Amino acid sequence: MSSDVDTLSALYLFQAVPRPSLQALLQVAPAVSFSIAQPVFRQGDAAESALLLLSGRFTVEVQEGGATRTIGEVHPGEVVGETALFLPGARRTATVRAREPSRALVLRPEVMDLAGQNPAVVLLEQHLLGTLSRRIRSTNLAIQGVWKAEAPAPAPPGPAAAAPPPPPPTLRGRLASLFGAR
Amino acid sequence: MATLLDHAQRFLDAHPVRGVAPHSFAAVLQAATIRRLADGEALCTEGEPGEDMAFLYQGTLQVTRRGPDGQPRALATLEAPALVGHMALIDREPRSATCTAAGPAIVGTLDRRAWATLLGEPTSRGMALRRVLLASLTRQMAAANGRIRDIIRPADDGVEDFEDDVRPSEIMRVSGVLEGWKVDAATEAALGRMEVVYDDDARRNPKIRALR
Repeated sequence: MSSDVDTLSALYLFQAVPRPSLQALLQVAPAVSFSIAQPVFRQGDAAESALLLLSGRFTVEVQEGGATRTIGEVHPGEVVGETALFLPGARRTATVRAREPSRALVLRPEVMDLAGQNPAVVLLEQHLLGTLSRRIRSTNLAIQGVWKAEAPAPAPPGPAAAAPPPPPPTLRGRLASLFGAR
Repeated sequence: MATLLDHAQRFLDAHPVRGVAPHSFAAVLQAATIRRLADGEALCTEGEPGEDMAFLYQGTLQVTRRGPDGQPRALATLEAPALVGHMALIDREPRSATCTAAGPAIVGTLDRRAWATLLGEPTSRGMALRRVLLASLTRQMAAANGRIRDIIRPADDGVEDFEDDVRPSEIMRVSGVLEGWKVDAATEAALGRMEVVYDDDARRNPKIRALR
């Protein structure tokens, strides 16, 4: 456990947290290891826990009509699957896979309750508030960008414009290209 | 007269949050300042800096946002109990909408200083505030994702159909859901009326028609 405490205390988020608080967190939220390519969460499964990545790297993928699209990566110090902590009955909306040998803290809702006043959990929850609000802001900007985007200018007349210009994409098409055909 | 514990219980009944006891949330409400709003009085104004958040204890707030023509348009109607204005405190962005009392209303406002102090407290009331906010943001994100999924689901024939495209007001609904404005039946009706405005805009403005 001591190496996990060292890893936790080296994360920027927890640099000011006393070691006993980190040890207390590890007692209720044990660290687990994942090998390369091992699925961490599977899209569609019940969401029962979140993970705080200590070391290694995860990739986030979504399945779209038989194809797999990678939509992001998770780095040490980041939390993935946090919906499970605050939205009972939720399902995984993406598959998360270990890209490198990785180690992560398993955060279950009951763990957050047990350790709710631990300074490490206080910081973790504040960190999650910032993460969620940034995600909401960027999604909102993307959505509003689709709405406000300028329509493509019509092709200039002339002999070079033999082929008809492509039709402007629909709003649905633009949203689908941003968020994937779900 | 309802006590803070009553208000806390009502809020948690309407918006369940795991691990938060009513007395802990009541302690959060105790740090808020009671404010009575008269009919038509604004609680917050679009574009202004967000320096506080509010708990709507009693009454109704009309949420509006300026459209492309600069005119305010109905976005949502908030009924008590509800959280108001928390996004601007968290992300430090200007208010995204204007909230006006529709009839007399009572709110508890928490200014940035008190909010920041509570948010960092390793206490049951600090945990209550963090969890209430986290649950709200998670619901906002999940609800908006659900709406986006519904919108971009391909048509049965898989062919892009300009006649059947997403309407701008539907995107505004998703945007409102993301920001935490509960879109209710009254708002749906108001947005339906807005659709007519957009149709008129599209007839007049070829660029809008192309976007549709």
